[in-house]
Amino acid sequence: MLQALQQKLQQRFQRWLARRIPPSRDVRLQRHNIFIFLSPAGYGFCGLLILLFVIAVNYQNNMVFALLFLLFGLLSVALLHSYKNMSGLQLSYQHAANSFVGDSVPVTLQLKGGAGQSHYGLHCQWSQSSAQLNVEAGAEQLVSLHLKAQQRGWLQPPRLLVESYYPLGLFRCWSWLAIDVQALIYPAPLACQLKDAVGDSGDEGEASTVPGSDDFYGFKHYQPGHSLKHVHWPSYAKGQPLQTKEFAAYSSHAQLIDWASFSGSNEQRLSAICYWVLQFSQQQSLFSVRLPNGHYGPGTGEAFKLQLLQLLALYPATSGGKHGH
Amino acid sequence: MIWMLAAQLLVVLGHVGRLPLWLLCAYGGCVLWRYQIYSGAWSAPKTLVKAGIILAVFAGIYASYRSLLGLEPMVSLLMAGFAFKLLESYSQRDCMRFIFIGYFTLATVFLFNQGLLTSLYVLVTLLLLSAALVSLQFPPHKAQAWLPLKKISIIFAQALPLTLLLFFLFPRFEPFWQIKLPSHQAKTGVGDVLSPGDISQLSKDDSLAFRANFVGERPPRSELYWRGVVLSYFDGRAWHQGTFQKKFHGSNTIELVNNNEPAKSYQYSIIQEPNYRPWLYTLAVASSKTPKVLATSDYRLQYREDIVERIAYQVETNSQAIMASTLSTVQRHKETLLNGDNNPRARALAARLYQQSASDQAYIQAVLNYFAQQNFFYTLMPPLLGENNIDEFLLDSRRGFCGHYASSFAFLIRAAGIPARVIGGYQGGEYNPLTGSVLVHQFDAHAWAEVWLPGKGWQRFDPTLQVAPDRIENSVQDLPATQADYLSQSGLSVMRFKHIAFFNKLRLELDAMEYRWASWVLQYKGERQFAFIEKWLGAITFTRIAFLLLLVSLPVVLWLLWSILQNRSAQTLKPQDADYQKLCQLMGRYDLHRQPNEGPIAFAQRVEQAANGPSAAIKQKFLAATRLYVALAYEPQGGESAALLAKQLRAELGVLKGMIHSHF
Repeated sequence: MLQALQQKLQQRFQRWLARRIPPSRDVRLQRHNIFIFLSPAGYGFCGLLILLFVIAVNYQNNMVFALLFLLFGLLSVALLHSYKNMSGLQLSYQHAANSFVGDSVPVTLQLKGGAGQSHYGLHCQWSQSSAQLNVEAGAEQLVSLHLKAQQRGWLQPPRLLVESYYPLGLFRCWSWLAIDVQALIYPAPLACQLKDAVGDSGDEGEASTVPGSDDFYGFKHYQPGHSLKHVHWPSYAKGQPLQTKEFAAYSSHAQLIDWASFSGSNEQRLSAICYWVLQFSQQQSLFSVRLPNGHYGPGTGEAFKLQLLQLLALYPATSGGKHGH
Repeated sequence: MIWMLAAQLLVVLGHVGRLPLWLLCAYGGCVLWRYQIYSGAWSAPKTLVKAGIILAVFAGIYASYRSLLGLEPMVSLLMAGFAFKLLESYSQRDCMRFIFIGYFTLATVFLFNQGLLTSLYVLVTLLLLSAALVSLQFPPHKAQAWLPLKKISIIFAQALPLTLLLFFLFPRFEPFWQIKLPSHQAKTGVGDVLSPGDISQLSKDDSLAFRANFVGERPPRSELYWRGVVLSYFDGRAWHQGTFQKKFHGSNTIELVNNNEPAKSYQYSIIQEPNYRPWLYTLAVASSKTPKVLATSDYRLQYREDIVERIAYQVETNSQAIMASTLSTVQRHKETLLNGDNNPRARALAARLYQQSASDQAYIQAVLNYFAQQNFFYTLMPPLLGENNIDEFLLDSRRGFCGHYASSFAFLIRAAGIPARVIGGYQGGEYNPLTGSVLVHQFDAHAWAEVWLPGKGWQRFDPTLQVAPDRIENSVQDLPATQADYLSQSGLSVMRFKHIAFFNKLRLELDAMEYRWASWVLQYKGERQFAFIEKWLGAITFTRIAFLLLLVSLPVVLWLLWSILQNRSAQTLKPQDADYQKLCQLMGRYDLHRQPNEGPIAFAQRVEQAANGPSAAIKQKFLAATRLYVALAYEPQGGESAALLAKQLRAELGVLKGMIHSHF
């Protein structure tokens, strides 16, 4: 009962938080996304103030009163300073590496100090990894945090906690930020036997274009993941969309990785396919993949591998069901 | 850590005179131990060692004070805790606790002394303690060693307006409860037993007893007899305080003689330094309206409790009032009691003198003459006296100070059956022209006698005047006879330099400051507070106080708002945004300006279609650069590609700039 209530409250809080601090690549800490409250030490300080008050009244001691008021003033001003220390800080997502499920994903964030405002004693915590840093006014600083990749698909990071107890440690000033991280999580490779496919239609020996080899073959629309060395800048500068040059090689035999040839759940099959995509890419052999939603390849090389990995990462979780195709 | 150590040293120094020596040594030991832990030589104390230390501290404090209850033992205990906390402050949490204990220990300094210098000292210590608090939040950084102090100074400066406001406005209500730990501070001032030998101790003490501030006329110095304690019980050797009744208010009975002279009264306020006794010192006959100040049946004023801190009270003295025009038989018996048959030679002397005198008044004069004519000598270092001390003093040694004269005078008067008693208090005082107040020091302590005469009541007689009239005209320290005694014992003291004009002026100047501090800051409560607020605020209403609060906090809030707004306007541009702005500025040369709500693509299209715009090559280049910018700013990019695109954009900008410049 209590647990249910707690869960409900938690959900409510999350919804409220999502409205208040929506996911973004670029966050600036300001009034609406900074929270501030007494830290445990702040409570202790308040206790001290109460004790001093009792003494001041008991002894009718004006100087103890003065000391008490000065400390109270200190507390109130510390609140403003605490807020000021956080406000103006800019966090922006820099880059993250695509990884496999179970790996830790390094995510680089850039912290940028506000104009004329240094930020001290910052503590960033993102799930299990944390970092302590100071950011000087106007300066930029990169921070690398590691996230555990738990699910296939686009990485969905928990909220990033940024907090500081500066200047006096009496107030905790913090923010829960949702950072839009662009990182694909591929299925974890699962080593298994590759059964020879049943129906490889196999136009053997036929020259087929295999992206990723030496000879220039043509242009292709740029997609994230394509090598930048192959971007055709001149055409881009002319106003055409970003294009990459495609190279082709000729191959005689293509291996087939077939969805149907693996057993187990969808996730297991995807993991197995992932394993073989990696294997074949490493061997630089020509291969194709058959998924329930299409046939890809044959092809080889880095770009083909990345294309397939992306496909695997984004393969719909529900389609296909348990029985496969 | 350095900040914490420095601050702790200052806190300990603030209490240094009140702590037993072994505790200071223990503190030194703690610092050494902490250093050894820091350098890795020793290890931190184990639980068993800690328990041993705690027991030892309790035992030591009990041994030093014979009690654990009391202000000094408590402060010592607190100090011991503060010192030993140093040994286990490693984590940030422990360090913060350490500093909080420091704050509390620092506040207890004020329970003993609230002077101006002490307050300044506490302020400096407070600053250092708070700097230690700031330094905890800083990762250590050599280049910014002074940053914590700088930061905390700013915070203090900003906290000051609120502090002052609270100080002025916060009501100082009477406590609903009051627990005052007994202080082990030595009682100072006049004692309640006068046995020859007591007052010479006092004369060497140049600390302030109290100060009096006269409103209007000030009595001449020779009239400044500050009555403090009435000694009306003689036990055969020493004079003790007799029985008296306290009234529930501060008004003594004022009886005036029926002559036509206008009643002469003096108005003054007294700031009494703590003397750890309830006695107040006033000129006869005094009344006071200050709460807790009570009148007594022997025409004194007395505080409701022991004076453990500086207090102030208002007095009105009616110098012509009669003290007790009638005396009951019981009272008369009490005031003439000599208890047995001690001091027979003095009694014989009294009988002889009384026989020679025509009246009581003549007898009193004869006794005074006896002091003047016989070879009496005023000294602060009299010889010790045996069993019949009055006998020995009057007839043998004849050396003594006010206590000897007053007690033997009262004895002789009582021996003749006339009511007499000894009064303890202070005589004279130093007038400080800077503040207009009379400073009464401990060395002004004095004893004299009062004799009851029918119709005239208790009359003051000062037999010391017969022997050393200078004693009344000048301060005891200025007497040639006593100067040698005085200086040989006073050691190094400011009073020693009294005769050097510059030092004397400096001393009076300091005293004036201390006085203003005491009267304006320390006594700022109750009536005075109301009066002050009313003077400045007109009336104490909620809206006015709220307004004032707002007014004081406004600068700080404005400063904050301003710095945030400035922060917002100075949102630094990303390099590509700056480059794109430059691009648009280039187009401005063709009178093409991007509207605030116009997207980059839309603007580029507008440029392309502009009839009398730039040449086609420039248009083409601009469009290409715009596309680069759009890709950079609005499409997700990896770090590598973003850098490449930004570089490309910068290059395009350069080219375009060159083209346009050649064009013009």
